Amino acid sequence: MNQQLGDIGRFAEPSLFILASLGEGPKHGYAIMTDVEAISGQRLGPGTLYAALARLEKRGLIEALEPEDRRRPYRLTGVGQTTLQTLLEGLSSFAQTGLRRLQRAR
Amino acid sequence: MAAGTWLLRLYPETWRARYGAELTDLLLARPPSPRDRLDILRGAVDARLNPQLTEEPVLRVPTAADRLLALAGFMAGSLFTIWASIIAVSTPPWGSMALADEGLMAAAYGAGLVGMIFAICVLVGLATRYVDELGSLGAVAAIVVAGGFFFAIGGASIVGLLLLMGGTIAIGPALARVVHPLVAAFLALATVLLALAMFGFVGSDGQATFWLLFGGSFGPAWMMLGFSLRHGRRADRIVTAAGMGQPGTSASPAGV
Repeated sequence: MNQQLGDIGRFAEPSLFILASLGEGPKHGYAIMTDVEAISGQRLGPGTLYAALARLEKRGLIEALEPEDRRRPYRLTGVGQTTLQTLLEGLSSFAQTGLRRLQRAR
Repeated sequence: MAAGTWLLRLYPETWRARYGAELTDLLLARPPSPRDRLDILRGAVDARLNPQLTEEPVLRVPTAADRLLALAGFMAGSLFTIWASIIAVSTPPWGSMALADEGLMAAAYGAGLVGMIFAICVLVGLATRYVDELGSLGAVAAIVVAGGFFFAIGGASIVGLLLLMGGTIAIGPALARVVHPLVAAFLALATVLLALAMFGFVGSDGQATFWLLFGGSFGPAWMMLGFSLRHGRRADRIVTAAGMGQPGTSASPAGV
């Protein structure tokens, strides 16, 4: 995660949640917030959500679509999809390694 | 303001232009808890310390109407200054038996009258032409200030000055979106000082202080307002996340 989102600082974790949420398709802010809460159990604050969205948009990982009323959906860009894939594979590998070591220690 | 949306005012203007409507919508859909409010506050600090947005240069294309409005504002300020200067110079010292030159006084008040008419034209022009930037509250405040001048022309100078003071303070924040914020602030300050002098709160000699402030700050403030209006209205803001194109694409948000 450090390589892909390292320069996002304290917004790296919320950014990963947002990318994962957008992995299934475009969503607006409120939908992202509720989805992140459902998949991670963590509640993103409104300020954190938009701070992370701005960073992801600036880095070209997500893009804004045409607004519907006042709601503007976001979706992953090609770079965003690749980054999410790399991040999740890295986390998966890390988790599997950790679990194996834990089993061996028992 | 409902649902803590007032907290969005803490964000920079460029940030609000880009994300304000979305976040407002989110807060209306899900009223923020105290923790959320703190999170928004932190977000506002972050947006100011680490701006992620770039704003295209503000585009202003002055039309003939804008130039006329600017000229009227500058003329109003100039005439106010001339008015106050003549009064200050030609008024005999307090206690002396000398009489002011009637011709000069007539010229001074004539200049003031024309200046106030110009000022009313500017304010009505602002309320109509610049309503997008001023907002409805700012437009109403402009009309209130115009009403202040109207009362002053009619001789009800105290009512007029009260309306001028209240209206100019109310229009200040909105006017800062049309002209440089320092010009808007200077105009508000000059008007308040003028009203305070009128009611004897500033200076030991109310009349002398009043005319000094009128010619020294109120008139120049109006001249600066007119000068600042020469750029015309600004076009719609284009705010983008740095490094990206214009927000929004033609793709449809399937599944949203």
